[in-house]
Amino acid sequence: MHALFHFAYLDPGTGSLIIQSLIGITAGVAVFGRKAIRNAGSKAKGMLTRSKDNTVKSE
Amino acid sequence: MSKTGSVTAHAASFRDPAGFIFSQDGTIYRQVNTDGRADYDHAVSSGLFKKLWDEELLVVHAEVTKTAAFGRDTKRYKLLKPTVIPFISYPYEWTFAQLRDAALLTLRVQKIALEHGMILKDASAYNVQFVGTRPIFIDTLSFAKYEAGKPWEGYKQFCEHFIAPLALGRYDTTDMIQTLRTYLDGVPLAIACALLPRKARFNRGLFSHLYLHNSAQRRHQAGGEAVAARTAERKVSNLAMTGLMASLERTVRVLKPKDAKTQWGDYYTFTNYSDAAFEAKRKLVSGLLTEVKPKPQLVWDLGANNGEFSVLAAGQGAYTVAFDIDTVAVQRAYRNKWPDETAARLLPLVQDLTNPSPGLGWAHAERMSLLERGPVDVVLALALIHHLAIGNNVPLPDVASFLAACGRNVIIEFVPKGDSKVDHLLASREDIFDEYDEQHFEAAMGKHFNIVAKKPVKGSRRTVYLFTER
Repeated sequence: MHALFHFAYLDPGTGSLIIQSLIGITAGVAVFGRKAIRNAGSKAKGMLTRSKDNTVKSE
Repeated sequence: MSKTGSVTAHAASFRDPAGFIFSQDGTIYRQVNTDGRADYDHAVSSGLFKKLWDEELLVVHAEVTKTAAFGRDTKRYKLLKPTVIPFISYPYEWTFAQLRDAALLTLRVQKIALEHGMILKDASAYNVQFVGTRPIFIDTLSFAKYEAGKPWEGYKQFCEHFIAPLALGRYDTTDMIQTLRTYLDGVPLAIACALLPRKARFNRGLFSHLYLHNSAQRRHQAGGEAVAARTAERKVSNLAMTGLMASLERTVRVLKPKDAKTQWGDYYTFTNYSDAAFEAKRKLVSGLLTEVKPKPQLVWDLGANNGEFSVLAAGQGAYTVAFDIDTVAVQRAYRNKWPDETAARLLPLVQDLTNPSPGLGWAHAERMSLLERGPVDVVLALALIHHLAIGNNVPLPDVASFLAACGRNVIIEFVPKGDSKVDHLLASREDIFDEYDEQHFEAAMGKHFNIVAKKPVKGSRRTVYLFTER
């Protein structure tokens, strides 16, 4: 018995075990990619707002 | 049922070595075996159970401390007494919306389990029940310690129990959910892929979780030990596990049922009652419900359509199961914004009374038939008799026998010939129903019941009866 088949009473399907890693990584990269883009966007927006405020104050 | 130690396990509870459920003196218990000790203790100590209970996602249980009455069992670690689910229903009796909500609940439970260092070891739709219109996870022993890098063994089951039937419901008809009665352990991926139209491949989630998944299954199923050994070396990183869960959730969320027109979906919009007659019938039924003594706790509304009359029983405090054959009508009852107390006591389900749910699974005993889940205190059968007796040729004595098996009291509406709904049924066929009249109806019912009340529905030719068992 392979260590992989941990819970024993359910047949997880060999193909299912293999494919979930592939699907998961693709989806995971997409999820984290979207998050990273959102974070970068909001950081850039924050920096722009700050520099605008500084410009107004210095005027 | 299998004898386990000194108690007898429920017929559906034989797969998991971690424990089983059983009933003693009418009370349901769950035994945790020593095999399930480590996982159970981890679920307690990690705070997983508390978190799931706080969010009302998992059925609450109490640990039974006095176990002498249950005899000795060397395998027993703990005995639990879970909160009672008023009526057990099965995925093949749910609508698209109910199965979708059960899928989202399973994913939510899985997400919280992962946050607590645990994982669902299976993803069966039978792990979910409904209390009124609220889904709740019932399998306390489904949680196992999560070892980082291990794949999710319940993934295939999740796809077959939830994604495949939902996809069929989305692209074909929502009635496809009832195929789960044939495919008791989920719709096989190959069957789902063969039945779905080509355009389903363009749904990203379905492409991954059904088509790609099915190809991988086909390619590797004959691989034997060599493939299994290679598979064992494969790891699913945290990123992949998070991505998999997000992808499954997104796939379920974007699956929505097609707007379908069905025979009975708009029944109450096109009823042959005037508003006044409808209101009179409502008052009449409500009054008859209060006449039933003792006060009913459990009511079945047979042919409930969108639950218009079921809510009268629920409003009076009875847990009411609203059955109808029409998936659109049942889904309306499920999605309706009922007041909270009503929603907690109203469970809409799909049921074809001419072919009610049979006993299914191993030894016909894993899933109970409809009648095994009764009898109940009151059966409502309004505007139903003509569909059974004329629409399906069921003789009146057989209808009466079935109703007697369903409940101790019956509130039933007799719809006579001359009523536009009966005339409609007879419009395209010969009238061979010589005995379809009040006299024969009362005689048939009289074999099982006494008449307590018989009242005409104002503004119609119909009569509503309250019968009580002899």
